[in-house]
Amino acid sequence: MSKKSKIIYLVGFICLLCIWTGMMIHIEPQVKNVGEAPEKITNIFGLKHSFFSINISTILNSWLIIAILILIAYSVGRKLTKIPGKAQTITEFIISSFDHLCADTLGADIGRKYLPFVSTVFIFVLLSNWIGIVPVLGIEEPTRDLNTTLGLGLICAFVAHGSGIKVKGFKGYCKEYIEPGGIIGWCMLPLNIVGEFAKVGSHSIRLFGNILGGSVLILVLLELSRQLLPVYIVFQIFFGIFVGLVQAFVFAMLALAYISVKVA
Amino acid sequence: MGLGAIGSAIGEGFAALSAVQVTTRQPKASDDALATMLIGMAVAESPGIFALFIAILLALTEIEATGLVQAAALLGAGICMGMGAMGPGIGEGFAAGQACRGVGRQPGNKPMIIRTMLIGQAVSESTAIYSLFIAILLIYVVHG
Repeated sequence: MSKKSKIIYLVGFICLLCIWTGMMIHIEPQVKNVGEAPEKITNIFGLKHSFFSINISTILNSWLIIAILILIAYSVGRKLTKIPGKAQTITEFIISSFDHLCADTLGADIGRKYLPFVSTVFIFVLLSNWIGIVPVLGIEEPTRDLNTTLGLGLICAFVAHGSGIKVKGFKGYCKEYIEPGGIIGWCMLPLNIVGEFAKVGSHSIRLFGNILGGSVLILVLLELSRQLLPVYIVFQIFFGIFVGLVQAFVFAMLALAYISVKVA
Repeated sequence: MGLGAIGSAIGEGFAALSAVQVTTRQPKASDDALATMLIGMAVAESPGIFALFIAILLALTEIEATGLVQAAALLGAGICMGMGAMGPGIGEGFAAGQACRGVGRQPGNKPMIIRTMLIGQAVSESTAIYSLFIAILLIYVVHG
């Protein structure tokens, strides 16, 4: 390993250590999380705490995922060979399948432009869902917080609407809300506007509810079965790995579908 | 939650039914049909997830002094989300099932079919969002 890469790995390791220390300091006990779920939910409505309060655990776990992703990307991307090794094969498989998906949905030329965004959303959400499987104290999925998923949903909505305005011009974009001409179009206008908000809402809450519901369910089952290990493993395989994968894929596919509706 | 589970279950059952039919008739398209079924089911699950969310909120939120009006509002929130999640669950599952059949007939059109299915499901999700919104309103805004 060259000196520069050693330094980068060292810096990455120190960042992970700092993040983990931060989590240990602000630890919220796992068992009490069942009762504290409403606290984190009401944080976003600004009812119990001020609007500017922060969910420390969510932020620290998000930083952890970002650090992991950067380290993986750096270590895999350093030596790209024509005959790929294992890690390169896996990453190429993910990226190329999303490339085909984007090319099929958006058309070959536009698909490449949105490929980085969609695949980044997928990888981030996938890792966020899967990091909850690790049974280390303090590590939980950042997507179990409505703030994370709502933020991601709003980003996807802004990308979709922005692309629509850029491709079609503002007048063309607005004309879509009044789709069939005449009086019926004007009646459709409020329905279309509410539909846009419903899309963003359902997009975020689907991911949030699935992940939070799964993790609360596992907590409750673990308590009921008095910390029986096989129960934990089996349910983590289903709720953690499978649901995490499916929900991440659905999230990214829906983001792609919303973009393609606006851009098409 | 009980009422909300009915809709999602019926809908997803229909999606599974269609996927199995496709597997029987065109075994070569079964992979595509499976993928479509999984995506459609995951989306049809979401009204049930909304109901679960409201149920958890209702079970775990600590309410201070409860008058009769607030008790009635909480009950109403539960029933609202439950019944509101039934319809979209069934409807979205129906869309997923027909999408599976379409993919079975023309696997080459799979991206277009999935895209249309997702858009239709997202629009029919609207009523579930309305119920979610009203349920949250009833839980948090009604006092005394």
